[in-house]
Amino acid sequence: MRNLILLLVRYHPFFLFLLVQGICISLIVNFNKDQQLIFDATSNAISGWMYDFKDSFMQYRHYPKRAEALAEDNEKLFNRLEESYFNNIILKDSSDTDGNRDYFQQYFYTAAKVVNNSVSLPDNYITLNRGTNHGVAEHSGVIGTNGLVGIVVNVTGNYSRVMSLLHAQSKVSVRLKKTRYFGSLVWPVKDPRFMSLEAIPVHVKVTPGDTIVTSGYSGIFPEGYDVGIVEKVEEESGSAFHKITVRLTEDLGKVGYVYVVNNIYRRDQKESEELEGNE
Amino acid sequence: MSSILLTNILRFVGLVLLQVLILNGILLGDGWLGYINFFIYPLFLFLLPHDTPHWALILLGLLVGLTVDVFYSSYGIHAAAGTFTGFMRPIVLKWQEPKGGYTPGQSPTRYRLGMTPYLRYTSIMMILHLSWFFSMKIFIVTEIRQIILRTIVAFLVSMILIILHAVAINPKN
Repeated sequence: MRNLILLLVRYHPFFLFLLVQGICISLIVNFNKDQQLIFDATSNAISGWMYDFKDSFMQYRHYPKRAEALAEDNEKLFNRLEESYFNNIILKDSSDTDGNRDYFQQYFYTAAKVVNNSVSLPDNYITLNRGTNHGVAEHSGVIGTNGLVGIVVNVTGNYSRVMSLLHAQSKVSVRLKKTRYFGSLVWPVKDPRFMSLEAIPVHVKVTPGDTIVTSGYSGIFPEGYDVGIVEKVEEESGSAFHKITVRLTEDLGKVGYVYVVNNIYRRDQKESEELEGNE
Repeated sequence: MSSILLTNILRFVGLVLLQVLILNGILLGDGWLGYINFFIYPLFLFLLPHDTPHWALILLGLLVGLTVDVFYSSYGIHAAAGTFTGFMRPIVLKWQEPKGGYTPGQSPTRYRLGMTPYLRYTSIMMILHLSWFFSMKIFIVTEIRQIILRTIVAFLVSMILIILHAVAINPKN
């Protein structure tokens, strides 16, 4: 500290020069049009940290708009995925009542922006700026760019409330991509990066690094969508199931744009399942 | 002592007025002739007394630069060059110091130094001032040739004024 002060005192003209020169340069770029234009526009032609510094700020201003446009593009692409269609070939062969189409759109995607989020509570919810006016329905799945986000539990005209995966009650039907064995993904209310995969029998070989995808059984999420990667496999004595920790591919702490997946055949599926259950 | 202060105040006012009222108006034309820029106000910094503190030189450079800037509406450009010149002056003087050294209270004038050392000193200072000025004015590294060319042309024409001043007025301090 004493040395620093001595240094400042000894070389005070130099530091004063730097300070005053800095003031002058800021005057130059703020009050002179030519220099300002050079300063703003041709930053890559100029080798100087200052230009890069300012330019990076200039670019960030356009990011929100660009992200929105990208989310809309993704929405269109998602809607055209093979998994978004309902295979109707068999139906068409037997009784061709619905025209001659082989596939019907089954999953509709709506891009939405996260306007509220939490990951630190035992029961976390996310709010999206899309509601019934935009075609969002209850029990729709919500996915991010990298993985699952949650399930819509409440919809108003312009907003929807999403039960985050990080919720004590959340339970998602998933399967191991390699062996196709399915289980349920639950959150043990600990780390927002990890969830537990339950009900995988011990005879199934699971190794860290295996990919977990959606099973499509619940009718909420389309089949085969990335959820996470096996982080750790533990065996509990006396238990018939593995104790598997899964690292989520989507970082729920920083989701910005998400897609609401509405399965229009979900009611059909649920109705048939309930009939079966009554018998 | 007060006469030195008065001399320098008068020099400041006189040189700035000469610069902004007369030299500023000299426009010989476009193209190559437009490169001809006369600079006289840095002479105020060149001729300050030897015992002027280093920090004061920097701030006086800022002051004279800003004053000129106001008339040229080039906020900060002359000030940046003046600051640089003020900062460099003791370094150049030390480098050009004669065997006998300098006398505090005196100024590095032609009268004190002699014509050749005086011209060497003012040339170095003028080159420094102009190169800094045109770097700030053109402000783009890819135009380095412009910066050098303009510095050389302005240096040649400005040194005529410096010599005229040294011959015609030849102040002691």
